Amino acid sequence: VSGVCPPFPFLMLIRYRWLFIVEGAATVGWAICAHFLLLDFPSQTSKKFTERELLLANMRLAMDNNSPTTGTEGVRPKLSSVKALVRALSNWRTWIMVFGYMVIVGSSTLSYFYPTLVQGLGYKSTKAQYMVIPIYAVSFVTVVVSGIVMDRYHQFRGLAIAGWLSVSCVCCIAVCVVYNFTARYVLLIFMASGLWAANALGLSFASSTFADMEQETKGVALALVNALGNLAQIYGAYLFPKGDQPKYLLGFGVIAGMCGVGVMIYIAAHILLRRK
Amino acid sequence: MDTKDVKCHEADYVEDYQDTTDVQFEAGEEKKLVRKIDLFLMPTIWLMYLMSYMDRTNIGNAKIAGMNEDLHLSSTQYSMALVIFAKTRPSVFLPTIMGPWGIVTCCMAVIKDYNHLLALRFVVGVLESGFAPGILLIISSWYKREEQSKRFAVYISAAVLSGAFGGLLAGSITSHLDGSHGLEGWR
Repeated sequence: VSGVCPPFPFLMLIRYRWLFIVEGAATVGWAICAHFLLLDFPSQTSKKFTERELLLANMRLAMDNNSPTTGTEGVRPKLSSVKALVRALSNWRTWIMVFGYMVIVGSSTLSYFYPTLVQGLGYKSTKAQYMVIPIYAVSFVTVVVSGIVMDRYHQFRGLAIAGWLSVSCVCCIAVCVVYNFTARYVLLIFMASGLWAANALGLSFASSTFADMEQETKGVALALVNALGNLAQIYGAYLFPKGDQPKYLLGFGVIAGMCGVGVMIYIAAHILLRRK
Repeated sequence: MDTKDVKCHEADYVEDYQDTTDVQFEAGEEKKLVRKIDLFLMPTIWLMYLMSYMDRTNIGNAKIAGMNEDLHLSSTQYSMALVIFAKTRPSVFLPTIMGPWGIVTCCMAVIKDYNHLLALRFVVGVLESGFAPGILLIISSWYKREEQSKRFAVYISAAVLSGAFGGLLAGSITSHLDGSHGLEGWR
């Protein structure tokens, strides 16, 4: 708890008010811009592209066994919503990606607790909030670098995710036995970076695994990955109860276990999807 | 890509295209097209995601874990309704949910009761839940497999950055307010 007393809570209210208004206005403004900037699907007509460009866009994806042409007249009939749902649900590839991503997002609830965890460093609460920033900075760089590298070796995405989750898993276990503050902070940075990198790769792995599904089915499968991943965050909120301070063995233990499961899921995914 | 690649591929729809068109593409053309797609999609999506994440972080999720639960549940149900998304235009669908969530966020500024704030936050959450699956499908539909990791990395990087920004914001707010009270302080 920082030593500074609130001058008056009212001042706080004003601060928040500005925050909400600025944020809301920016969101509305950007929504309007986005309407003009966003691209529709390649199969839909667009004023932003010439016919030739659209043809190339569709063709290069068809070559990649992606199926953006669904829905275009004369190519393939549209799939009904129910049919798309059934197809997505009955495809094992959907489920392996759902479970894998659930593990990643579930473990990522860790990010809600960075400030709490960093407080273990002995920083007062204000400083603790700032000390969260390096965690995100390192994660940012990791995510971007890992994305660039893994496009080059895209057939090994499953293994790369397994690798990142192993890093997080090992750090989680180490954090349970190491109580030196600085060491724990560094471990926390590695843990977070591994999870964020795995998150981005998990999405691209899922998306490219679904590449040959019909557009509608792919939409449902991706929504499932996203939605069930979010669902995995619910129990995450209970992983770091105040009573567990400062070691948080339960939270780190569960996350280590989840990452371990994730490693197995993604290695299995790599093996099963290798031939494709 | 050169034209040779196009010809040796066996997928049905490529042949469909080949039959109906005699268009030949030059080597540099694909690269140029991908750059154009990037230019339209990446900054737009990045900023959208940054904004959607920002208010999640600035209210402080950990402090309202109970509401989180409701939010995630409803977002799951809502995402299921997104089957329709595959049939709409993203340039209409996404701004249509984003506009109202921005307006509701503005409304939070005039709220006097904490529970009302939570209610509004819930509405924003429901609107936002249509956002992520939509973005995933757009990226998935425009890029080849070996191009996707980079683009999803850009997408996730917005979430990471807004986390850092949230930390900065929270730091400056708690330095003016007793950190342990958080939002309760202004109730």
